[in-house]
Amino acid sequence: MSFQRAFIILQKDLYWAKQNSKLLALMVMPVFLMLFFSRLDSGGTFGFSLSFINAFVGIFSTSYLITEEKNKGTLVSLLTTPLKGSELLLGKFLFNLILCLTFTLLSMLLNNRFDLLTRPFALLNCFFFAGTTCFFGYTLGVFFKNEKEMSVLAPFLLIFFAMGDAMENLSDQVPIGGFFPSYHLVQSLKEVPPLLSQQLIHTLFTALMFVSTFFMASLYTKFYFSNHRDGKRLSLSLVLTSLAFISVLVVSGFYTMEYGSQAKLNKANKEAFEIETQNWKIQFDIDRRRFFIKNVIDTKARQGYLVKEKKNDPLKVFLSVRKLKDAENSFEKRKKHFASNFRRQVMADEESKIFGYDARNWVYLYKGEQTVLQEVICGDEIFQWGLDQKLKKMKGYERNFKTFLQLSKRIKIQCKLNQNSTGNP
Amino acid sequence: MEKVLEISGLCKTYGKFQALNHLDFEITAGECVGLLGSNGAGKSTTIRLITGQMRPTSGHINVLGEDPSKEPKKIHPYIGYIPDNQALYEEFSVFNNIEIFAKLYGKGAKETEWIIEQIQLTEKKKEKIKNLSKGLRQRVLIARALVHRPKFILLDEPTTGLDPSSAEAIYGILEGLKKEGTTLLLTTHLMNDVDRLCDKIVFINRGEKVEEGSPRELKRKYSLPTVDVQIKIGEEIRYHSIEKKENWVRELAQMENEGEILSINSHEPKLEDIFIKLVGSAH
Repeated sequence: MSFQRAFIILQKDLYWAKQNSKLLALMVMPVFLMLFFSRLDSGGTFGFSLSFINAFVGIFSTSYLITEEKNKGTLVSLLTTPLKGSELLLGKFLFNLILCLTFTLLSMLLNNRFDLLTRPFALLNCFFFAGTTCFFGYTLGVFFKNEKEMSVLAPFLLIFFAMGDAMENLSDQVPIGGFFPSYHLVQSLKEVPPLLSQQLIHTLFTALMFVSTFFMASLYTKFYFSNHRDGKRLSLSLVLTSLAFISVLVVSGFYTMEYGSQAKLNKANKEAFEIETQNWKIQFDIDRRRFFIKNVIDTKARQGYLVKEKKNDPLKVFLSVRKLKDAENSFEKRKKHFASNFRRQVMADEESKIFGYDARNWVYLYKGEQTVLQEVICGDEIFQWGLDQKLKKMKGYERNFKTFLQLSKRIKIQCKLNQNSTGNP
Repeated sequence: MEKVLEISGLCKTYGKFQALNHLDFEITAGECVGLLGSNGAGKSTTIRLITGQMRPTSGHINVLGEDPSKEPKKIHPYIGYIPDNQALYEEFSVFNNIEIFAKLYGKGAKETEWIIEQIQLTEKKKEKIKNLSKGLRQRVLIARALVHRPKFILLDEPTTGLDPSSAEAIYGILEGLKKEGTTLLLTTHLMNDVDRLCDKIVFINRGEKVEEGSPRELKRKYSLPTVDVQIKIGEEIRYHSIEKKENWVRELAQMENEGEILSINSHEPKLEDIFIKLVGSAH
């Protein structure tokens, strides 16, 4: 394989993108999407916007570059030169990967998420996901005869690749996010990083997707550009590698359903309990109707304590989580960012009016009707999502409570606690 | 003489459809061969097999000592392929279109400039392809295929759809290549192309070779000299065609008795007639 020839293809596509208005539109559109998403609350939309843009560029741009070459007939001309199929794949892949990673960096810039640059697992996930979409897009481009054929499948593919996090949030009962390719990317990009073990698992799944799509693209290229396929488009290698890719998603989906959303009660008695979920671990001391965060593991940047118990409302207590001093600067930046966000501002103001506190950075704890532990929920990362995605659609207390119910079902605390809890303190 | 192309017993089937059926022919170095046949006769399939884009069902192809069905990349540096569609990057300039391919062959801007000059595209080299006429685009395609100075050039219908002046320009280029000793294989159904350029013609019909030979040999073999006679009988003018040479004297004498012979014209046999006789009659 000649890297020089692959580089010629990369250069050509770069030049082509500048000259071809359709292709240029495909490249520029993500910038507008990013600007749009960055104006929303980045806490909830950053992961989604990044996966959406990667899916958009990786799949559409890569496949378009191939189908356009087919339509023009230039693909045949290229392949009757010393250029090999593998060199064509490498050239097209590199071009689109560079594009995806550029947009990823731009998205970080627009969303004030430079912290990700210091998180190797998040960066690896970005690379693997971008690579996955590029290889997948390339395979589609080679498989489909033209854009028309491709456009039948395009909306579905975009949803499939980009909606990992959104799907989980949309499904109240069953966490199905893991069945979608972007789920692990989004998890690894959360502001509070997941535990190391979970970061490794997220990276492993995205790496497996990357590897399976790499084999899908390279083996299919070998088949498609060989001279013995006789017009056939379906190959055994394509079927097997597609199955491998689907298997990774199925395993990821079931893993997430089984473990990803489960909260494990490590310790529970009348005085204290400890809950561990996929992304956080938190300990509480219980003083009858009060909860104190005794120790928050893996939250160097955060510290929490009880602020106030809502009087005349036995179902509800409130817990405020504050950043530690060393994280104060970044916290202030985040506050500024939120302040520039209209929806978030309004929400925070409303909450402040109701409870007299700055609700912007709260984690809410609820007491259940029968047992306190039964409906405990925490993890500000999860709750941030709740505030962003759900609360804005509801009003006042009711919306908080509904969100809480949805979340409590999602993380399965209830069933676990029923087995071990000591009852109502 | 060195054999540039050897094809023997070449068969290609697409499912149940037999595109080529035991095709045999050879091309020696410096020869210009025309592959003639009607649409669907198997001309493009033959070209694809020679360039290694497809594998034959059976039979053997040898291009410059290599088997393109097994090792297509071994022959690609030595051949120039001009496809039947004008496969160019519309948004690129003439220079860029040629330079990309030059680079893939390990050549550069110097060779690109050289071929642009050779094909007389210097004035248009900065022009975008989308602004060029069909004839000029065809010249760019030829330049692109020649940039690495190939030994063997395959042209799939090079003048189809071109106006006479554009076609004339292409003929000029191909004649120049022929004079330089480049081996050419062109497929076409335009008889003027082959009559003027080719040393040898291979007629194929439904995947089978039906005739092979030089244009002169074929004309001699299939010549149907016809004499058209204009005769005035009374006030009426009539036209007669006498097809068989042995009947000329007898029929002319008979006509002279009937009336006054105004004119007698004889026709040179044309490749079209041979084509229709060999290929057209089969349809």
